[in-house]
Amino acid sequence: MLQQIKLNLKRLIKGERAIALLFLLVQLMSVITIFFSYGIINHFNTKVNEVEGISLKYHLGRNIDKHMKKEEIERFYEEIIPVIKNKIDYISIIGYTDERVGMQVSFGYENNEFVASSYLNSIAGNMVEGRMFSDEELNSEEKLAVVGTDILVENNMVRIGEEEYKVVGVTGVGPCSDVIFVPFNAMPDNYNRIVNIGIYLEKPLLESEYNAMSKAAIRNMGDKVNVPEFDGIKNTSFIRVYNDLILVTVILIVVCALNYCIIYRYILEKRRRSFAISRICGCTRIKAIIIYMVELFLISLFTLLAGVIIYLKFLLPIAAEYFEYIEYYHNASNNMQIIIIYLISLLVVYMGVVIRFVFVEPANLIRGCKG
Amino acid sequence: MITLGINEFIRNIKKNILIIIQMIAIYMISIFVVSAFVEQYSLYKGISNVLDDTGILIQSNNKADKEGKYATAQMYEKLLTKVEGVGTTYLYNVFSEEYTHKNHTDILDMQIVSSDSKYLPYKPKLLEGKWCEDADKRDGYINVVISDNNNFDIKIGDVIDIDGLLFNVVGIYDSQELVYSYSNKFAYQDTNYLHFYDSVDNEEGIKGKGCCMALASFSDMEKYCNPMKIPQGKVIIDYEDDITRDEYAENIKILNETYGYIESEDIIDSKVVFENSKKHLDIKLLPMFVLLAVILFVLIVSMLTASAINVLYEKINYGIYFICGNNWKNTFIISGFHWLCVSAISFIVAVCGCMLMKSSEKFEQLALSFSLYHIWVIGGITLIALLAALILPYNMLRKIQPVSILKENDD
Repeated sequence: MLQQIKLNLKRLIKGERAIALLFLLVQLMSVITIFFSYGIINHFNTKVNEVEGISLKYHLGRNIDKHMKKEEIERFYEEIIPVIKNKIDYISIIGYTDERVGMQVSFGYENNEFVASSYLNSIAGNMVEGRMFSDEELNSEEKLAVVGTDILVENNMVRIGEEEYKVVGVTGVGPCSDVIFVPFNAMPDNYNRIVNIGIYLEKPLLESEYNAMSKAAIRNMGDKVNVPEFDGIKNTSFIRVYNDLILVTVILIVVCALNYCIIYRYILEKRRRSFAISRICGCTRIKAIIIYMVELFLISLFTLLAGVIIYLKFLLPIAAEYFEYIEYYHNASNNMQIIIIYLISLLVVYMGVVIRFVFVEPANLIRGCKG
Repeated sequence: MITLGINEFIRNIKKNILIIIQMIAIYMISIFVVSAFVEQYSLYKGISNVLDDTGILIQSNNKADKEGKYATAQMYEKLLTKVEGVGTTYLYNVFSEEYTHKNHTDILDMQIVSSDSKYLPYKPKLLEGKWCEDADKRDGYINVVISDNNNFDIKIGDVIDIDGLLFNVVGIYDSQELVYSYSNKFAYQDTNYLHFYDSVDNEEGIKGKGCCMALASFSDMEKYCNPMKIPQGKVIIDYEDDITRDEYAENIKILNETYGYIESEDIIDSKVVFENSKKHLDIKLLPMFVLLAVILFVLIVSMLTASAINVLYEKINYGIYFICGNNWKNTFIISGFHWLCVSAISFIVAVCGCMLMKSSEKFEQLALSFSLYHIWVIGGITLIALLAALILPYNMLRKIQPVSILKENDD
């Protein structure tokens, strides 16, 4: 039996190289499509079941006569960043100095580190003198500042509370002309004159994400903070769109399954004569089913492994940029479940094709071969 | 050749069944994807036509002049210079403390919203019935479309009679549908197209109170209910293109002096809203485009595979045709007609399937529409399939002698 399997594989690879290649390509594409579809279905399902906000900015202002402290904000962002990391553009913190001069901190967040926000980058393009903070400086506690043109600088230093900051750059005129920018860690530890936290997003928040943000703000800053209301609307229009996309991905899986059947049916058609001869020579139906199923599963396991590696290592990180919830659903246990379901589906599809072929009488197989 | 192509299709219909099912799936995918795009885009489309022009948006028409009057579109047109058009909505409140309908007596609080059609571009999907303008008009009756959350079991064809005003219910929409003009959302400089919409279900003042929200045609309301008209919601003021900076500033000043509207808070430049809307639409559409690219790739590979397998099945016949005097070029045309038959059958089945789904209540949670975009995309898919059917046989057979095809088969 093992020899027959070997022979079949050899014939497929050497004798029908183009078809074998097509079969492998289609299988590989199908594995990737099935994994991708699983992520997409769950991504849009999350959106169907939740309400999505409209705003891309949330300004958490202070309540009258109250100020927020640096340590409170530190706890707040540490709590919310894991929840909204795929959606956050940057966080901007606005406060003022003892002399009532505006002070601002702005940072993006990647791989547990502060990075220059798109806002700081836009300011960097408008520098009159010096430079903007480097990513290293944004993460250090070094007392550095970038100031607006209207800020009084003495000996290349500015003062915030008790501390002196070295000025590394002067930014141009405009809304930033009377603001001092500092890195978050460089803010004085006891700094408590924060009036606004701006959360700028690349994608709108879901209601559950907004609730997590709102609870974190209240837990850490209590009645000092004023959280704006959630502005999402549960509506049937978005649900219809997401349902369509879910349905489309399901049909796509069907298309992939049909590809398998179309190609393998052709391969079996080509083997009609040789199969008829082996049947006449004593090969039982059960034996034939086992031979074909083992052959198919050997090919499928190879393409499954290759497809999973390609998808998880290379394609999933790209897909996650566009579908923010897709990664969440591709954990080890879910991936294992997809593999098991995939193999069971293959078993059913292959059985259907093989049994139909195996149960044809040898004489009819040969007749069919002659057309 | 046409007959040969059709004959080939009929003779091989059993062999082609999987390919036909696959093509049906491909057409259905195309119809659903385009429908999803159309649905997502339709919320933006109508408003964008107005917002990409010179103009302003008043966040909410909620301030009265010194005489206590709220401004109508005509009043804005009169007050301001170089106004091309004004889009605003009006509310008409019809109320009865003891209204009886089908032996049930309760409070009837019907709030009817109406707007100049040019500025009411998006029509929510109806659960049943027709739009006011599309339904039959009866003299003395006002056609209304109502939300499904009323205190009474109001059905299509029912007449609501309050103080001599007769409302003919011609359509019912879901209370979770997005409707232009219900929105009182304030987003200031961050306003985008979605801030123009709200649903009955989302309105705290209405939700769960059995308040019946209705939509009616502007002309009907002007004819029968003009005195009840209250301007409300967002106001789009579209300026002529040649408006100068000074005229623009002067208009803002007039609005400030007459109604107390403040620039940047109550009044926003249309272009700011337009830019915000474009950005927001991109966020919505980009993932859909990525998904579309993946789908297209899978579909093209699938069509090429099916086409190649079909050529391999038909190789022997093509060899016989060649020996009987047909050249390869004509053979490719036969293959093309064969695929045309496959495409036509698949297209008909897919469209019929989608139409059945559209008419069934089970699938009302799907965006399913038929438009010119659908024809373009389906035409494109068919073209790709036909090109594959013409090019693949050419590539696969041109270097092969018919004799070797026949020999190969005989081996």
